Amino acid sequence: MRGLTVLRLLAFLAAAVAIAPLIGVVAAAFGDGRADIAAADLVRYALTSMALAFLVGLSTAVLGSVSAWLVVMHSFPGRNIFAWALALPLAAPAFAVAYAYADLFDVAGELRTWMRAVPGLDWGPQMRSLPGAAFVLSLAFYPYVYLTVRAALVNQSSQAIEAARSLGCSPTQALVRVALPLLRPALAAGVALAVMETLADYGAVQFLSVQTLTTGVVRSWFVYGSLEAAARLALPLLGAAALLLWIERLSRKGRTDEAARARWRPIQPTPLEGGRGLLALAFCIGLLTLGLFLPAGWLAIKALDISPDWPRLVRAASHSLGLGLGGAIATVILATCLALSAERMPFTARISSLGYATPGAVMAIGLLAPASLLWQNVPGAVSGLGVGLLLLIYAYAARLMAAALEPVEAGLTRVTPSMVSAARTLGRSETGAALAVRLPIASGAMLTAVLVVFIDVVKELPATLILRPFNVDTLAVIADNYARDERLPNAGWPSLMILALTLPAVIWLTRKITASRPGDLNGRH
Amino acid sequence: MADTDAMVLVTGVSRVFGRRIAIDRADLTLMRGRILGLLGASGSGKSTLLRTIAGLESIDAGTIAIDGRVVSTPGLALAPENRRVGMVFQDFALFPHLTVAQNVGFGLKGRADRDAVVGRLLERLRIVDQSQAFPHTLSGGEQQRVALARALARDPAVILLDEPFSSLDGSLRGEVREDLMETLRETGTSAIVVTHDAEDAMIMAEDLALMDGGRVIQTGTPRDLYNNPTSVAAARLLGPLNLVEARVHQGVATSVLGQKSAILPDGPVRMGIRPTDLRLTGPAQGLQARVASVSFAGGYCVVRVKTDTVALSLHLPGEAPRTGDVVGLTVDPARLMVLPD
Repeated sequence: MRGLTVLRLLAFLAAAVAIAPLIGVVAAAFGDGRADIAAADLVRYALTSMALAFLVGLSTAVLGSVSAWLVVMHSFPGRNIFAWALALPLAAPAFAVAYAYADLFDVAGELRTWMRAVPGLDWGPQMRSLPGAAFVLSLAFYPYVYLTVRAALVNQSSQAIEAARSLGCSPTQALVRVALPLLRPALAAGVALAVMETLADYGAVQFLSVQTLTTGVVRSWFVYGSLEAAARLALPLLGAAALLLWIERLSRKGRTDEAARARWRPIQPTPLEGGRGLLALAFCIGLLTLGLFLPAGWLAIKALDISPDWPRLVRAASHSLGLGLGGAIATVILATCLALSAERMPFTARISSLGYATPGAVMAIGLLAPASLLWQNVPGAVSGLGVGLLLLIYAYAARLMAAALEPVEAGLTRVTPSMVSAARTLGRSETGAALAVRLPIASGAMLTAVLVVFIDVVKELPATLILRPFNVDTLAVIADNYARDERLPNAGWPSLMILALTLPAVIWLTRKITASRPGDLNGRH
Repeated sequence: MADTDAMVLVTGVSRVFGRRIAIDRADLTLMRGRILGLLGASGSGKSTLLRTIAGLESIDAGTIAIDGRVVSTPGLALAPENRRVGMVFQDFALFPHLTVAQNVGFGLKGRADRDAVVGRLLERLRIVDQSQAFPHTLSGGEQQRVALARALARDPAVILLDEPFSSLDGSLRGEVREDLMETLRETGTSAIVVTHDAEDAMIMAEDLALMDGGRVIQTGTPRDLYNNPTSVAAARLLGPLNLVEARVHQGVATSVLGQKSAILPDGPVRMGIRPTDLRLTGPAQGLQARVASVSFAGGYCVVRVKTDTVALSLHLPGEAPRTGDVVGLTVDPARLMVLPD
């Protein structure tokens, strides 16, 4: 029925939470404070960000789509394990991968020393450079492309290819004329996600000495204390975020509809015999090694050399865990409020997704202006610690609302409109029907959303750096602190502990995603 | 009949979605304890009308009263949960996270009362063995019975059934229909059944309303409507129909099929005859036609014939002529329908 209901009101509130920091950024950027940014610096940062985004976009497109095409369309040893394992690098924070490779290829490092001594080679990639950063971020973010392209390949069903074959196409022609065009939207969506993450990254690029808009935002705040300068640097990032989000959403229009899913039949993979099978195996092992095993292993070797500061690590781990869970639960509650009305308020739902493409640093800057007002005007009302933690969770929720909204919305599609109508005619109000029918049915999807947000929050660095209360360090923050001091073995410990927190969740999620099939109701929970 | 006997009274109801008029000044009456069929093609507005009665859609004009109480006007809509209506949905809409017993008891408050009502309904509808099963493990017929039990559990003033058989196939359909009718009659429940299937409507309903283009175009008993439709749309809704051009002159309509008196102004009209009401005679008698095709349809044959001016279809039990035969056709004038053009 029409009018403002409780559910709609909650949805508007959730959307307001997501949008407010973005408005804060724009307001701060056009504020009358001093913002001494040289135009040349702004252009340099922007060009570096664009170049990095281009390189990462290109290489994640290749790595993600080749690995997805190998795993879905072919059978070779280990295929079933790689189907989910290839997404595991999502568990590793990009800055940890950067630490490992920078150290591995350091001129004075063990590897380069050994190479000079034994094969007599004095060469190695320069990781502290734009190509080095692109290499690291591509390994960290290719799973976004892998997962979206893989899903599209699995969804497309053998019928489209069989129809092409029956109309006279050879297998190669069917691939070129039917399968590849069908993949284009998924590829665009995956690359858009990888580029969003690239633009949002702070820890890895900062460590590799690449100056992007995001490092500029954080520096403006920390070094110059200028909110206005930070906000002005954040504006192009906001524009890019909106563009990427638009590309990602646009690409969804081409996805498989429900009717096609009902007729879905699995693709019969082509067996890769002998050398070709081994080549495919080597590609997958190589990618997984470069993206996860090598950096994690190298950090572990380095970390074992020293005795860590356990009390500090444990305290930081408890902060990461607490903020991760708190942030995840708050985000999923807000996303659920939005999802319950999303069908009738599509614009509100979409606009609140803008935060997802917005870098955490920008989100934090957007919250600083209202936060300082709060601190100045309500002294003693809430402790600084409480407000700080609240702001941090707020920033996570605003940034990750869309990440949680997607699985929750998908879960709610299992509730047909007639189920809600049935609950209404059986005596429940709109809110009552949501509590008794819609939420219990979507509970599994809500758990998925909690895990998705948890993984992102535990890995998050820039917003945490800017907004965290004094003395509240997360694992990501102390890893960054150690890395700034070039104490790599020390940075290894918190990085590996982040991995220990996120890896089980990533394994559970990727196994669940890769095990599901089109038309599947995602299991009965 | 007095309005006090009306369980549901729909008066001049309209519902507009954007530019599309889904319901156009509809009038409808469901008498207490009776089963009313609402028959129409897809998009005719019948399901929307049912949803407005349930309170799931608001209305833009008119009033809806249930058991003497106005529940919908353009400015006011009593919430669905407060209307005392039970609804059985096309897809049954069973809650997948609840067992059969929990589904049936969903709308009841108070544990003791709930267990007693659920037990009685499960027994009546012969699904007591499945009380702890989840809906996805049930057959289509069992799911339908659970949906009916759930709707009956709150002792509603009226039960609304939206295409209750459309997701059931052939043999099961007839069986479930019988069960449903028996239960509704035993419980003395007033019910509105929405369907697009003429056979379902005529077998189940004691009173019938025909909908077309958002309007209720005719109401009456199924037999009356079948034999005396007042429009081509109404005649077509109730079954296959042959239509030919005709003309009224001084109260008599004339066509190739024959003549029939008609209270219509002079001018062109249409004359209709059901395929079951055309008879074959010898080749030299009646209207001369050539058999164009013969198809076997189980209990009868569909015979398509052509005269010099019209093509007609016959449903013939028993022996059928062969394609190419010349046949004669006779028509009982009483079976002819004169329909405004």
